[in-house]
Amino acid sequence: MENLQLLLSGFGTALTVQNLLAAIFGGLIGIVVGAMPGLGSLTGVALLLPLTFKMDPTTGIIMLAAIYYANMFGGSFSAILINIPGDSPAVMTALDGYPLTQQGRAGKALFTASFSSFIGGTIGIILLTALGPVLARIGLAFGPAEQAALILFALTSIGWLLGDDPLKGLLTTTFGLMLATIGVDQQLGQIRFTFGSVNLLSGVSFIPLVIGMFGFSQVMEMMLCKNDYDELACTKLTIKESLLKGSEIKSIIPTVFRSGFLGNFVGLLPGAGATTGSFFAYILEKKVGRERKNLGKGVISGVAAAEAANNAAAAGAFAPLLALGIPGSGTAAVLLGGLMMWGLRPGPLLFKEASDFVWGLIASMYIGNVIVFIVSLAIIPFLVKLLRIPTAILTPLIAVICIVGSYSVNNSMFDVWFMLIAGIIAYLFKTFDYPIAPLLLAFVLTPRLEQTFRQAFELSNGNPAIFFKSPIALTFIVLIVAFVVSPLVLKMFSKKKELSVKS
Amino acid sequence: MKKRFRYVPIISIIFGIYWLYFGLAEYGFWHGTAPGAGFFPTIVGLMLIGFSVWILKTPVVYKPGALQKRAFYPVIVALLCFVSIYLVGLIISMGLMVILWLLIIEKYSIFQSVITGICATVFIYLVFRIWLMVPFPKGLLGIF
Repeated sequence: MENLQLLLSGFGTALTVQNLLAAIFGGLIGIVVGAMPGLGSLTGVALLLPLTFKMDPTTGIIMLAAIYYANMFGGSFSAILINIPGDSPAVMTALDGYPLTQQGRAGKALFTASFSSFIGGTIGIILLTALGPVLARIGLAFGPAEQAALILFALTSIGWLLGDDPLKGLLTTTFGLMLATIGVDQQLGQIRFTFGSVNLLSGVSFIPLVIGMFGFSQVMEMMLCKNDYDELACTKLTIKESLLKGSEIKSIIPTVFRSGFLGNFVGLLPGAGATTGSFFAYILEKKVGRERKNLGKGVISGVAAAEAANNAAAAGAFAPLLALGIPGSGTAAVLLGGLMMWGLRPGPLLFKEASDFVWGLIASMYIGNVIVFIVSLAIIPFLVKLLRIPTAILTPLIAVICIVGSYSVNNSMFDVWFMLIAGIIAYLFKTFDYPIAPLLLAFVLTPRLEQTFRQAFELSNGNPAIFFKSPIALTFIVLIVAFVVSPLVLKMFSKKKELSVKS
Repeated sequence: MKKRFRYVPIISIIFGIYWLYFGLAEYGFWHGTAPGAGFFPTIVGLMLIGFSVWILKTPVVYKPGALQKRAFYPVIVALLCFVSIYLVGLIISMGLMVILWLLIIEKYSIFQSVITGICATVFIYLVFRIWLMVPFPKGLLGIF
């Protein structure tokens, strides 16, 4: 009941003209960025972060959050029409979405994707409303040892879950830790790894790093791909032809709810995110769905499962982000960085200390979800034109935004140089299959990890047993060990299997 | 064909040694009853070395054409653009960058390139200079 009252007051914040405009603008941009193959929510949020400098923190985060969840809507469009997911969470959507396009039912697939995204998103936001404060209350019981163990667990699981090779994920996570140790040590005042540069005294600047890693590296990747989707030239889409019949909606409702709840649960886990959510939902649909035998051949329930889950997961990722300060995905890590940039400290106290902000954001997600649903339907007739914007035009424009955006953070060319180097490094990482999202998560979480770690030791007079006395911290430590050891064991098993097959 | 790519782990080992040395020798591993400023750098150094050695032990399948020259064109353009910023300022440089990129790299017509370049420049000027009031460098020419 208390949550509902707070949510209502949040609507008061969200319904101001500037916040409403921010949600609409973010929604529009999110859909467009999501629909463009190759660009994702991370790139979109990273490039638009500098635009929020002048905004009030609530307005800024409302816009960035709208970009994030609108991106989940947009990502399905290119997956359905040209078999290229706009973002990784839409990979599973392409499995049934594109066959539907080949059958001449592209409109139906697009409507299913938007409808399921809307319902999935709504489930996610309702659960966020209910679970957010509960998680925050649990978080209040966490002392420094528990917090340090939780952050370590988040870092380990993220490295493990992202990418095909957990070891590479762990290495990039360590790179994130390394970058975070640059600058003046916040507690002891020691200057570390600045190489004599005044610009590095306050540490590595977050926005140029993000723009370089996710914007400029994307520009470098886009140089290698050309989009001339000739098959789209003869495709014409209308809203009327795209609408689903009552019986069709009825048939996907159980799938949407099932996948929505599952996706939301996955979204709550650190590192799992929307991609894993849609993957699990699709697997579940294959096991229990009414049309499980035809899944992958072009059925709307396949699109519905993937889309409901990835939107629910995107909303779910906000719960640990706001209540515990633990981002559930790379984009959530950028949002966390943005929050800290505005002086807000996500964690259990945020619900108490910045209640207006938190509930304003949650309320804006309800409104934004409706706006994005309407926009995603209205945009259907224009999608073919949107997807045919040449990459050749987009690349120099994104490069320009990368340079200008990183300069505008501190009005310094140093940041532009830093952005460029970060972009090259990220491109090399991507080329050799090193996931870069864990690096960002580690970079954002390390200062808090270092602080809580020190506090825990100070409280125990330097006795490490503090991490094993608390059942919560101990649970996280057991999980950390399991996450680190399991890839080793799996590799050993696979090697043994290979050897036995060879012999 | 199998070939080991060693760039990332080898560079990581170099960073690892550097972080480990400074963590232990310069910043102080322990301070009173709690970790010192060198504690995390030491751990980071050890982890970088450990994970890198582990990666080096595993063979990596060579990907033909993994690194292509064309991917580095934006880097060259950006470097030229930095020189241009010191001469004609940031806003004009951005416009020139878009025009020359489309003309030379993407082989667009002069008309299309100039129109796109002007639109990009106007967008940057309105959003960043007027709205966000970012004081862009004006270069030696001192315009914009």
